Parts: sequence; C-alpha cells; structure tokens
Amino acid sequence: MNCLLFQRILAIVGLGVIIGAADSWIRPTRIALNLSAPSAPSDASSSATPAAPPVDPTTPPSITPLPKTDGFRDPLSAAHADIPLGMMIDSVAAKKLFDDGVIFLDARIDEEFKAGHIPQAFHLNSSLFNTPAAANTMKALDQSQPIVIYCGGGDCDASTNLAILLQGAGYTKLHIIQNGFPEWQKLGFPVEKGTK
Amino acid sequence: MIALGRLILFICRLAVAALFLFAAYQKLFESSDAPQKFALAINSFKILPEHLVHLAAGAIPWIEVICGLLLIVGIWTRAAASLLAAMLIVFTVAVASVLLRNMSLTCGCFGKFALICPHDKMSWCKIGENAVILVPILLVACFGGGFLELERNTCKTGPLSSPLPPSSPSPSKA
Repeated sequence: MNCLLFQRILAIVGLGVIIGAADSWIRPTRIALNLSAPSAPSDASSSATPAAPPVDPTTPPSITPLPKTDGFRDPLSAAHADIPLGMMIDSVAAKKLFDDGVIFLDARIDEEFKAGHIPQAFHLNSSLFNTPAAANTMKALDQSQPIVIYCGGGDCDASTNLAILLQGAGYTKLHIIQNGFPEWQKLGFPVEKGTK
Repeated sequence: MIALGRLILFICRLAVAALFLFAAYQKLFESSDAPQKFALAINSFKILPEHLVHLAAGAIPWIEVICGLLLIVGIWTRAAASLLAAMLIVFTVAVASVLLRNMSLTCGCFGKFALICPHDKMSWCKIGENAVILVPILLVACFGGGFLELERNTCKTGPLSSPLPPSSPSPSKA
C-alpha cells in the first residue's frame, strides 16, 4: 500500500500496547472485570461465622453468599432465615432491606433515574464513581453498612460494574437486585421521580 | 487558497490532537480508578473476550496519547490520523451494535464529560457525534497536517498522496 503508512500505524499500535502494558503493570491496582467473592471475616468476633465455602471458578461469583457480620441482619423472613443473603438478591429481599433503611444506589443513566427510582436511592454509576459530582453520595456510603445496587435488569451490567468499583474501594456488604428496577416496579413497590 | 487549505488542515490537526489527548487523559488520569472504569465500559459492550478487554483498556488510551502528540508535533500525521480514524470507525460500529441490541450503557469515551451528546447516555446521537469528529480526522489523514508539519511528504504516488504542496519549501528552491 502507501509507502510507510502501514508500518507507521503498526509502530504506533505496538508502542501503545507496550506502554499500556507497562502502565498496567506499574499501577498499584489491578483491573477487575468480575466481582470478587467476599472473603470471610478474619477478626475474632466473627469466628463463629461459618467459613465461606470454597469458590468454584466455574460458579458465577454473584451467587456467593456474603459473610454475615454484626449489624448486618438477614432481612429474609423467619421461614427463610437459614438461607444466607447472597450478592444477588431478588426484589422481595431488597424490599426488606429497603424497609430496614439500607442505602440503595441506582446505577442506571441519569435519564432513567429521573424517570423513576426507588425512594431515597442515590444516583451513582461507574462513570460518576469517585468524581466530585458524586461527592455527596460517596460521603453517604459507609463500608460497615450494607448497600443495595440496582440497574435496569436483564443485560444491564451497570450494577455489577459499580459493585466492582465499590469492592475495589473496600466495600464488601454489597447486594445487587438481580432483575433490577423493572421487577421492583412490577411488584408494586414504592417508586419516586425526580433527582436526588 | 492553498494557504487557507493548509491553515484549515493545521487547525483540524490541532483540534483532533487536543480532543484525543483529552479523551486519553480522562481514561488514564481522571481519577485513580479511571483505567478500571474504562475497562468496565469496554466490557459492558459484550463484544470482546476478557483478555482482549484488558489489552484494549491498556492500549487504547496510550495509542490516543501517541497519536495526539504526533499530530501536535507534526510527525507521522497521516499515520496518526489514519489510525485514529480507524479506531473511531470501530468505536462507532461498537456503539451501533449496542444500540441495536437495545442495551443501556454509558460510553466511557470522554469520562464524565460530553461533547455533543449527553455523557451518560448511549444513543444514536453518539453515531452523529463520531461522524462529526471523523471529518477533520479524515481531512488530515487524506491531505496531511497543513502548516508546521515537520514531516515531508515521502509518498509521491498513491491514493493518500497529498494534493497540496509540502508545508515547507525545499532549500534548493528557496
């Protein structure tokens, strides 16, 4: 083809890959694309808590139960009290957490949030995470308290992406509403409009 | 007229360089977890396997940096612009595939900033925005970088040869 054009393009791409690899290697934090399984608490006060089962790499991490710690109540009914609360929860379990005053994070885009969201939920998605625009929301989050995240359900990855960022920042008590806001709305649970 | 053409190419070159350097900055240094956010944004497209997501997330911002710097300095301008054009076309196809699959995603292109379209909403507007950005890139890729281009046009023939005279006269003709 044209003179050195393609050699130059290849040189730029090669240099970019090399610098990118070096940059990734130098940075203190590794890029994660999946949720990591919550680790069992290591302090003595939680020694009575059963150890988390070994994680099968073929099992989606989303179904790994969260370790229960003091102050982290199981919201399920007495009939289901023996079922551990997992990372992925359904809307009914989420409603119980909602009634307990747990913080909810809406990871959808701004337009969807304004059209309707779970009352008192904060709008926070991966692009807003740790930015000045979301400073108030970040301040409201407490690493010792559970957080429920939801997005549009279905193929929506926004909840998982936000959960990965939160895990990287040290938040461990995270729950994701598996079928997201559509199921919450379908079940007739409270919804409010506008911004927060 | 030739001087005006070269001035337009020069402005296009600098504008494209500034745009992609800004985009790269947002992907690399906007916050401590900016690379993580960009990788998640790529992964959400559900187009690439995970190992290629890591590769793309690491390489794309630095390719943008290199191309931006080359365009500013005026070296390898056509190669840099051609590569940016190819990347932008690939991004646009990826955006179109997301829209056709009716997925609700954020772009991750310019961090939390927006050029024409809302920053957190992937829509057909993004296709139009990319088409607008593509125009100056293609101008530079086809006709060179205009004024203050350090690179001499080494191609005498071929489809990408410049119809414009070199940006600086040769010493023998001076």
